Amino acid sequence: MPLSVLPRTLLPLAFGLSVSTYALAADLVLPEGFSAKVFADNVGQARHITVSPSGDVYVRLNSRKDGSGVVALRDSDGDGVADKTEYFDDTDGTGIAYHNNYLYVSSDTTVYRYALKKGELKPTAKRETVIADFPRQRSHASKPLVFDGQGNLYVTIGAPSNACQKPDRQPGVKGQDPCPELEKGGGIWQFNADKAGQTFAKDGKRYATGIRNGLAIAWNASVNDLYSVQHGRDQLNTLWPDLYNDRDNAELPAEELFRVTANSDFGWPYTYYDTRTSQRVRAPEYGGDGKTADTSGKFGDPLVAFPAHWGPNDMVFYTGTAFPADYQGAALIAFHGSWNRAPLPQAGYQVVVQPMKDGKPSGPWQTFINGFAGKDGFTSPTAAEHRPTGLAVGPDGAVYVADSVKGRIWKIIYSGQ
Amino acid sequence: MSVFVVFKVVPLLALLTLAQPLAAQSAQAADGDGEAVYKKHCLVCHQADGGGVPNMQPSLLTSEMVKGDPQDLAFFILTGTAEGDGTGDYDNAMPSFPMLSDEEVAALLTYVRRAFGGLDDSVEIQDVADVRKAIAP
Repeated sequence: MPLSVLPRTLLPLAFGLSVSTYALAADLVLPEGFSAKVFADNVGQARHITVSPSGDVYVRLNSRKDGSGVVALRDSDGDGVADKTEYFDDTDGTGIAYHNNYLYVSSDTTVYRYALKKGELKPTAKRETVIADFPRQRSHASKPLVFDGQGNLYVTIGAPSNACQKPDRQPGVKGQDPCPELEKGGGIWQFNADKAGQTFAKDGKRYATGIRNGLAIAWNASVNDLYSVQHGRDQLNTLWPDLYNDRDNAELPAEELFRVTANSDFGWPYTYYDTRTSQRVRAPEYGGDGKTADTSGKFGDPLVAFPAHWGPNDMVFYTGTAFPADYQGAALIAFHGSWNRAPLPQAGYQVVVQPMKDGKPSGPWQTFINGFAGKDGFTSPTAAEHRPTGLAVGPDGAVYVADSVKGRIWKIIYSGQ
Repeated sequence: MSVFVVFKVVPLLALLTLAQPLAAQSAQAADGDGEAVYKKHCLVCHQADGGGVPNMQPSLLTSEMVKGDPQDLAFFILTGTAEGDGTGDYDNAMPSFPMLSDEEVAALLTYVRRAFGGLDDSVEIQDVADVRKAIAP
């Protein structure tokens, strides 16, 4: 497997630069003291990423590369660049997580796991099925997964539509009421973390609902709660042109960060969160006029309302100690970048940091890593050189970022004072 | 104004505007209506450059259907895929656009085939009308 990386001669330069590594490592732009190294490149169409306690990096592929859907990467000489690569698993998907000596991976319909023996990069154990028979769906079919460390595994099941219209994404069509899609999607389900042989129907417990597509999920161990960032609904203007223009659609609705507790309901598809008025409003599919607030009191509010359509694909809480104090305990969120802002310029395509304290935001979010797209002001998503889609924290406190376009994996370190 | 008439004027317009780049004149001078339909209903998913969105909505630049029989494309636009079996190579289903008139669909097809398919013919309104009749006789 060819693994092309940044020329070795340039790599030492990537360390110790105080401002950024602008001329290196795909022009990523980082705050002072941080630098990025290309840990691996062209690994395949990356989605989520995880790091084992020994520092091995595992990347889940959305589309198999040469028949394999997981890439294992090891940096055996500690120079910040992977020097050993293994491919395995004949499925593809999004979710991947290390838990209790097992590597868990998900396809769109199944969660699997491999036992990882000490020292093993590529598992020799046979694959086990942990959860089978998730509903088959076309839209939002990814199955992100996260563990709480208390015996539970959480799996996002996205809504199989944009706004519960039938047919989907059809101009002027009302939403189904009540929305039957919430029975098997549009939420987060809880399973046993350690038991093989579960099924969605028998063993899954709907933990939270009204979440359109919580592709970014993470466990915040400092307060023992689940958090998720939702991909908000699309196409307000094309579906409801009498109520919304192009600019309205580009700016609405929020991508919402939720603190997800048992039985939370965040209001999809009946409502969305308005970034301009900072309130939850009725969706046009359910009688909304683009302005009227939802007064039902049934639905939770977001902790943070991020800009519309940025596409939050992954989130981690920074549990390391290598980064500055502001980053410790903070939520890092990978925004894959928009498509639904067209015809206006696309946006997102960055990793942000949301400082957190006691489970709540302790200050405004900021751009952490930028420059993935390689340009600004473009209108077509295919113009982006890279798009961040996966995040993980290594045992040394480094952060790994995965790119969906070229399959590049960056290692982000801090060497400032 | 009949779109049909506009299309018949194309060869003359083309002669008169030879100094302009071919793509620009065919997209703007001849197909104002089709481009407007594209912008209103299609651009949000398939994007201004027709490039689509990886994994979400297909590129029209590499689409066989765009370059193929215009009646197949008309059928696809009028019926969509949202009533299909819920699977596909792309995450999002294609909505149906039966609310568009035959004139609008013909203009749209002509625009899409020229701007993204590299073709220079015009789609006849009657071809679209025949497809619509075949769907719901």
